[in-house]
Amino acid sequence: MGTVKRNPFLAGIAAILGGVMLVANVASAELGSDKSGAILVFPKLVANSLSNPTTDTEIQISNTSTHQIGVRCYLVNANSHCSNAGAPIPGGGTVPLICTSSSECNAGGLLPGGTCVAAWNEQDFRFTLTARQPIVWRLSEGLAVFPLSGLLYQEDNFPPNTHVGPVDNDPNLPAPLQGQPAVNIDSKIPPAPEDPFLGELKCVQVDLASEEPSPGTESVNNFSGDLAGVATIITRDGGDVDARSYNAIGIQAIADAFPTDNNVLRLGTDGQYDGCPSILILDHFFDYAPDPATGTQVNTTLTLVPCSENFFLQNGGRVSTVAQMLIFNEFEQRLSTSRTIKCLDTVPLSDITTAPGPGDDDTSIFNVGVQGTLTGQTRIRAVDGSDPTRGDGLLGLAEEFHSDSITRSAAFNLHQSGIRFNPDLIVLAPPQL
Amino acid sequence: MRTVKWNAFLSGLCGFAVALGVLAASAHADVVTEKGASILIFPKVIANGEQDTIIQITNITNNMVHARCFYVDSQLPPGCQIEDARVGCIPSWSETDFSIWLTKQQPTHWLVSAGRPVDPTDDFAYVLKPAMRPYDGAGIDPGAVPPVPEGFTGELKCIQVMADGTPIGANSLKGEATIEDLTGLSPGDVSKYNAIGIQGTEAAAATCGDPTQDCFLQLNNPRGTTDGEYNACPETLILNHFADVGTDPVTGDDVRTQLTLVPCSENFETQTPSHVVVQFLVYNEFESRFSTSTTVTCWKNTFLTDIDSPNNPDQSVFSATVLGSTVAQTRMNPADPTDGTFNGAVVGVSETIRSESGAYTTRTAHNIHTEGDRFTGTDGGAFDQIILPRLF
Repeated sequence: MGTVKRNPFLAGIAAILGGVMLVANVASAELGSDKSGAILVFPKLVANSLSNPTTDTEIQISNTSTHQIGVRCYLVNANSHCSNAGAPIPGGGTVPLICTSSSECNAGGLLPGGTCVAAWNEQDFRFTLTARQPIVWRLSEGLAVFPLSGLLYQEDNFPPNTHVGPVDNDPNLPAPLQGQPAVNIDSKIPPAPEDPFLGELKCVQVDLASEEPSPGTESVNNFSGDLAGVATIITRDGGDVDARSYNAIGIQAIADAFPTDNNVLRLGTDGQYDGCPSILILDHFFDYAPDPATGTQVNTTLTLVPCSENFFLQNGGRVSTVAQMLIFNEFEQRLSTSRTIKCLDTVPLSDITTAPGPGDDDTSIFNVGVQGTLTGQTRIRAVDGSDPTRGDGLLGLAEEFHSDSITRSAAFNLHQSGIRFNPDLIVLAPPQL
Repeated sequence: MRTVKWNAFLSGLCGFAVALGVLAASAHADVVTEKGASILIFPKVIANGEQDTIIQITNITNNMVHARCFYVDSQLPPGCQIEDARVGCIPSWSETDFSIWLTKQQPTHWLVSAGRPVDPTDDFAYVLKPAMRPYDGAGIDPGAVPPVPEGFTGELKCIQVMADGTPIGANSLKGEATIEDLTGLSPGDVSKYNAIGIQGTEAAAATCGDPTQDCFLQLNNPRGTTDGEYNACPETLILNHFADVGTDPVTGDDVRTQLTLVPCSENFETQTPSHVVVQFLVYNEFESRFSTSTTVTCWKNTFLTDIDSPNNPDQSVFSATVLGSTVAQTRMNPADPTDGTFNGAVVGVSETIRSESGAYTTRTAHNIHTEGDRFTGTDGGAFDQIILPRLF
């Protein structure tokens, strides 16, 4: 009886708390690939001119505002390297430098001890964008000359060394730039540091003069950020080309919370930017499902990157986050698995639960034969770690491969739900050392 | 004792309802492509023999979800290549509707040309019998999804409703569309985009309680407010694209962009097509600005250069020849009429098409960035509306 009497109170409180937690989770979530943001995340960039097919990535970034802005970017090199790179392999050849599994380093067991060591290294660069300016560059080549940098008027009616560009009278500009042609000052983007290259790109909107992180400049979007981006991964196999494209994930700024503290960008609770999502939601075909339209085989690759990253201490290779996954098929049946994410993880769904490679994929819980339906929903939740210097949020991307004699692909952004209670931290190196 | 038990239930229910109300009230007002929503828009759905489309829709909540879906067929009459009223080339703009229901967390899918009949015994027999056409109905059927008419080009809108058909703003739906080439240089080529979601509030469909009355879904909840029904559609669409008929930096081949726009407003009761005049501002890499405009009637799917120069692409403001740069940013705004009428918003997707004549074609689809709200609350509260047909 006593228990029954307590039920109304407890039930009500529990429900309210549950609801309030839900509210807390969604109230300020404004992170997505369909709005401009103050931080852009490209979870997966690939360049490989040495293999067949060859691969490269086109990166487009636009300034959606009417003001000149500064941008600092961090290109994360997620390549793994053989511990015994260069060692001669019995029978000919040498151990490669860049690897995806230890079998490439130990030559299938011929060189015991050779292991593939995961790495994490960043390369940063900065550039400016004039009002509404779009740019594009190839990952493998970078952008040595910006559209509005370096060009000088040659006509006699301009003073010497006058740059080509629309005159900018924006009163918010630093005084030396007011009334001057808008140019891409000190702007240069390096090529990917290795070939092949696998990595991630994070870009942060910064103040034009101080290069400190800044919110957006447009009231129309609540000063939440002016950067929009698109990446296209292009594979060329002889005369055939396949492309897949995705929008960069934009993290919006909360203008009232600026300035930031010493280049530590706080995402989420009490932060200057919106938080990373609590749950990532992936709708996908189960691996090896027959495409309903063409009968080709469909496989999905999932890429996850951490929201938190310390570009100053470069500790990305030493920290990790556990991703818990719930998988629902079209019968509403649920299975689950998990995976540890370091730096950048790009993995075929089947290999999340089985050994790398297709050999045992038919036993994976992501396999169509195991699930019994063509499509499913996978919900991904990052588990909170105990490191107070970072959060454990994850962002991601899915790529869908339709394979027959040739492979066609599409990329798409993951859905999301809620924001994390524990904030994520992106630590930048100071702009002036 | 019985009363006490009911109190427990009611207390919990009330608490949850209050929380839900707060939840709905505090959500941001935006059109989204990565969050659960109450209205899903698939702007580009093709099943014309050359291409087919796979629709995926998922219930992301733990509750049973119902939805009313509307195909809008915008295919031209036979013999017509482009829409032109002077020669009778006017799309049919006919709609077909159906209902689906999804159990908790249930994903579902169907091929647009085939639909998905209700058959509890079906399976994906293709795996076992590769010579057969894929038969992919395994799973709890979401309801009888009809196949589209031959030659279908158009859009799909789905609206979350309660079991009795009354719309509800519970934001439980997400979706994707995969467009596949069946013929041409690269059969099997795929492009994929997320459905555009319009989130609802607890006040959603307040006018829809009476099944004998027209049901107006009011997209009147701009950012920063909480008293509207559904989030307002965007004021501006922002498209990052390659200069049309330009050269792709990686492949060195032609690159073009196809833009698909649909009005947010739609009247499914009277089948009256909506018209929206859209102004375009195009910025190249040198910050040079160009402009043009077009009218979107019900559904518009066009190459960028066809918007302003269909007979000579090189003279279009979207062309590489005119822009003089590799990429551009195009901003699209509905024009504001000066006669006091309301010009509603548009939403859309784009496809970038890289091709080499006689060799290959590869397409990528993009969700278009959005900014602001199409809501003129200061002049009588003009906003987009979707009118559902009565249930009778």
